Amino acid sequence: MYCQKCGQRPANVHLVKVTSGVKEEQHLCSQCAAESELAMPLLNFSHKQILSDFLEQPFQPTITPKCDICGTSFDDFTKSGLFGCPDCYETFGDRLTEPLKRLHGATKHIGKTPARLTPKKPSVAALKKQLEQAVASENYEKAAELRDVIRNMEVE
Amino acid sequence: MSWYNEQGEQDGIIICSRVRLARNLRQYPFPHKLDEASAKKVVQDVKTASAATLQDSFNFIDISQTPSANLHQLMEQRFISPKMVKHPQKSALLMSKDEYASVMINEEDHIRIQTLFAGSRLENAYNMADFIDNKLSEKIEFGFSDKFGFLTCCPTNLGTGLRASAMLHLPALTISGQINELLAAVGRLGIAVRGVYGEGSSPEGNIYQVSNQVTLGLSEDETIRKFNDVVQRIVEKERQLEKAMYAANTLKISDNISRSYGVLKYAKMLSVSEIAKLISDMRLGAVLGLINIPHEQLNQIMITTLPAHIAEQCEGNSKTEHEMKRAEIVQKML
Repeated sequence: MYCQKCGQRPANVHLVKVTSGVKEEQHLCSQCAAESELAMPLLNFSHKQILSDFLEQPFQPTITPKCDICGTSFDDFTKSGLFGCPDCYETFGDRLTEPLKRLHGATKHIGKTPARLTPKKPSVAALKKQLEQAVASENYEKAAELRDVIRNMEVE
Repeated sequence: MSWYNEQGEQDGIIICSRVRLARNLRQYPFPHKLDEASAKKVVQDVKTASAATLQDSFNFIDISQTPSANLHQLMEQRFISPKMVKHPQKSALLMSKDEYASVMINEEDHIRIQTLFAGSRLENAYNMADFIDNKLSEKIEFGFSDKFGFLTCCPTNLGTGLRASAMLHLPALTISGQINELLAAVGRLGIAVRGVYGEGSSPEGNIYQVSNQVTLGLSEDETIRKFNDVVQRIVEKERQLEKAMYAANTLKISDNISRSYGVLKYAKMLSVSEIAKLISDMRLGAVLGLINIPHEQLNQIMITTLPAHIAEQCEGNSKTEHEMKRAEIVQKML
């Protein structure tokens, strides 16, 4: 088979791109493959690995995701232990499950919501947990308030 | 009144209690990524919010324009952190007029509310910090998500952003060597213990800081309650050990304490390390009823004899002059 791009050299790099279950195949010679967007990852992998890797996961042309707002990459975070801006948590949220489990033994916030954001109410589950903890701390006034809020929410 | 001028509860062992809340403005990058202009905007936003919601109760200090000597004093008084002293360029401070609360602006996070009380007053400290937080949030939109809570620069503060700490005087646990066992035991409960003064294994003055490590998955009430429990258990252990040690070594301990009192009262020169040890002996002496010096006076001596405080009282830089001045100040206070 000849390279689909230049049509001159034999195709020895075979790329399979699977997007939402749809499979696309590309057959290129090493020169055209090197010149294409895929140049970076190709330099480090064997052909066999490329094929199996690409078959297994969705195709990702960009290498490291960065926060749109501040430009911090997950690598930056791993090196310094610090994020760049509040939006980083949106960008990298999925990757934080393990690190947060290690740091805090938990991955979800149970606690205060800032007064300003009250239109966005905490979930019933979170409120129930706060209620449990208020009772445990013998803060019965707060527990009663929480109980009433939960009742109202469950009625809705 | 500052914590070190005041009497607190259980202050024989608990020197002071502190609550800190970390918050950030939603629409700015965290301080380490702020350019000078944006840093100034953050400072202005917080300053304006404080003026609008906390009225006249806070004084504003532009840290970036404050001389380093003064910053060191503020740090010795525990109102600002060593980090802020090292990197003051983007920072500011709001100090409450009653000196119980301070708000650091642009330290590791945009806002760090801190309340500091003598002795064991963790609930008071939390309630005050909570109040300031609620007030500021009337005017400032904090970075917050339902999932992760308050969004902080470092994920070690994520969630409640709440760090509770207590400064404890633990001579018996230190001398008996049981402090390491304690460190391990409370470590398993998510509590960290470290020496406050000095370096290495033997903290100067037998003073330790105990603080919670977990800020996610626990409500604020629960965090304070659990932390308080651990502190009380440590205090109880220390108390028992002090009594036992004294019962087993009465003469030796009284002799030691009396000698230390003598040095404090009559020495012509005193170094920082010496004072730390002598004050520790005085604290124990006071708890055992051998010495009649109020704890807040011991705290005052501890703070006002620290390097930056002494430097301000002296003309030159010589060690001798400083040590003489230190002895002078102690004797004036006693």
